[in-house]
Amino acid sequence: MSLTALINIAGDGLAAQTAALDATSQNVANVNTPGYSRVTANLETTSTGDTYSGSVVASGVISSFDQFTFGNVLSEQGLGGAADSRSQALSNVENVIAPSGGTIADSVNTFFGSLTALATSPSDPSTRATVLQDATSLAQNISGTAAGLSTERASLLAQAQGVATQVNGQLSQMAALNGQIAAESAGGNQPTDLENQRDALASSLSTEIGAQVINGPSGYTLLSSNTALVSGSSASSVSVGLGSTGDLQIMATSTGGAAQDITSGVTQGTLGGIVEARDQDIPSLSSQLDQFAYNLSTSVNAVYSTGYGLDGVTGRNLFAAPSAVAGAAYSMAVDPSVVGQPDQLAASGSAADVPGGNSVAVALAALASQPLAGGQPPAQAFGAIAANIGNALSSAQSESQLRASTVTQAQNLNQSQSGVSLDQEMTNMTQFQNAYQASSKVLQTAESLLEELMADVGPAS
Amino acid sequence: MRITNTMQLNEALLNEGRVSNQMYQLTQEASSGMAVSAPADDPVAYASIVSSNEQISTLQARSTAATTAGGDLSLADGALSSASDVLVQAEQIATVQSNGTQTAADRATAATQVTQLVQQMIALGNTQGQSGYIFGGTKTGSPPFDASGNYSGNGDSTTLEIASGVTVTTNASGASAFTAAGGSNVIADLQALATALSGNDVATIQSSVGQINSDNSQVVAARVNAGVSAQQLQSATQVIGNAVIADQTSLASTQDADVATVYSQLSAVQTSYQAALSVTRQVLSMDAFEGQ
Repeated sequence: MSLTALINIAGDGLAAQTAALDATSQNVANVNTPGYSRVTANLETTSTGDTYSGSVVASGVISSFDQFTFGNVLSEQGLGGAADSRSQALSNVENVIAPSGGTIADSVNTFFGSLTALATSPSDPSTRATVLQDATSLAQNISGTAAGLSTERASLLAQAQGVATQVNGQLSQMAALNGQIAAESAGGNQPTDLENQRDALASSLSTEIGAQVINGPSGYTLLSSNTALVSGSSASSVSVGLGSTGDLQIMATSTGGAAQDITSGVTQGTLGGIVEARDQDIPSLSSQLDQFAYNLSTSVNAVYSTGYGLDGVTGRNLFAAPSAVAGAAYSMAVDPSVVGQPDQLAASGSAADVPGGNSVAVALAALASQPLAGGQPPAQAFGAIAANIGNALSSAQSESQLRASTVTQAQNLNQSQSGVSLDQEMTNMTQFQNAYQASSKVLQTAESLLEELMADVGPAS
Repeated sequence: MRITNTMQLNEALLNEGRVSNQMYQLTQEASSGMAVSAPADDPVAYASIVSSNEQISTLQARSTAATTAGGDLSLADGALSSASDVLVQAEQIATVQSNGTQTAADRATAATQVTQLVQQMIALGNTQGQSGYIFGGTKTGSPPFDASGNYSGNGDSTTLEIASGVTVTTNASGASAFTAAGGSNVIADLQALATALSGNDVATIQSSVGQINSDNSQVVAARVNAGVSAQQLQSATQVIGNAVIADQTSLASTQDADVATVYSQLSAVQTSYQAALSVTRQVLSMDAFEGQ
């Protein structure tokens, strides 16, 4: 054991505590950085060549990244992203189906109300004009609602394409990071900053499209929708288009590979929520609305066509006869034969009873409380459709709230393993600072010992 | 469990999000006064609101229709009452002129009076209401009686549904009041009297007395029918009015927010929101670096 060795060990101590303080300062600086995993300096004792003594060395840093809890965060974020986007989409759909200003049910009520008025004044021109106007606005309201649903689907397509663009950027960034991390590691470096960036990307991708990562020798393999979208340094690109049925078709194309349809696998993330809302919830509502429009037109026409207009003509329709159930809502309109011709409205049950006969007007007004083919009277049949979207939206909203909790829970578990606690960093800092001061004291002491020695053995005066 | 600063922040954000979401919903309820304003607020209640609105709307339409139809019926009632007065006058004239002391000149003067009564009767038969010529049956578009008293209307009645399955006749039958369909042609009988008077035909004048008396009964019978219908419509309007109030009450109990409850919930939520905020502020500002 020599004094020089003492100085060397004290120097090693200073360097090691500095490395530890460096790790602490990194942690403190990144306390709010998404994807950041806490690091600790890896302090090891090291031999000085002297059997009885050991020095210290900081051999890099240890990242507290935890694969298991991070995987949970990704799963929950995938589910949470889907619930959020579905609930947003359905909330727009609710506004289309049941706008606060007045719904189809209100138009239905107004229409049947004016038919009742027609029953009391079958020949009155202004009553006739009102019936025609109310029939027109009912048809327009139903048709406009169907168009609103189509518009909603179109805007969800655009939204899905926007998500795909963002996802593609992140996929290629992740592939690039995989390459850089592999290169840095091969050079003996510890690229924790790059790894943290890559984790942040994985987290964001899980919210957008649902993702899991597997850490292998060539870096992260990103699995989404049962497909590896990133593998090593190569990334697939995702594109969103329309399939033959008009539903979303999501294709993944790997570098140099053929496009692969992954639509059925996309159930998570923002994109998964969009797929469910656009291709399941809205079509189901559209077909209910079509059935409603078809039943309403058909049952009104069945009664109406037996009646006679003021011109004595019978057999006309009030609403243009729908050719099929599909599309009946969108194409709902007042029959061209009646447009602008309130005199032709049929109120009377026979040619002889024109103009005062009202039996058909009475029968039409009575339809308000008679069940349609679907089983409920018109306004209530619409109420049932509105209740369906209400149920879908309220369950999507509660799922979204539930997911917000589970995501936070998963993030907290992950944070508990990998996050930065300022209290802990403060304690560490004090500890390392004291150790640094102690090493510095050892150095001073060794130095003064050496000086003393030099003075003692120095040349005689 | 190791607690980090981000965990504290996450937890705080989640809780504040929850509370502010509650506040948003309660504020919406308090400001709109409606507990259910969109289907998702309560799908079942929304469907029952639509159903209540439908019932209220149907009832109100029926009530308006009953009032309109009642107006025409009371017009018919008035016209038939006047027609009855006309017949009473004609009967008096016939009775007076049946007396052998009357001269041909007296009878000629009376004939002019009766001819005027005929015109009056035709005018009454052509009374117009909200729905057109009210005594034309369903031929409401044109006068049912021409200048010489020929009837071109029909005996068809119009009805109105005042409750599901319950219909009331909404027109007074001109055919049964004035024409042979009701027993005798009232206008023709008056014209016959006028002819007999101007022809000084005492025997016919005498027989007219009984005829016109029975004509009056015919008109009065039609008036009674119209009165029954008018009565039915009027009581229907009252029944409907009560039903509307009942439906509106049940609608309000489903749709309207209970203001007192909402306000007290709102103030409770506000208090907990403020508490959450101040706890969060303290927790986030507190760590071991403080005071260094």
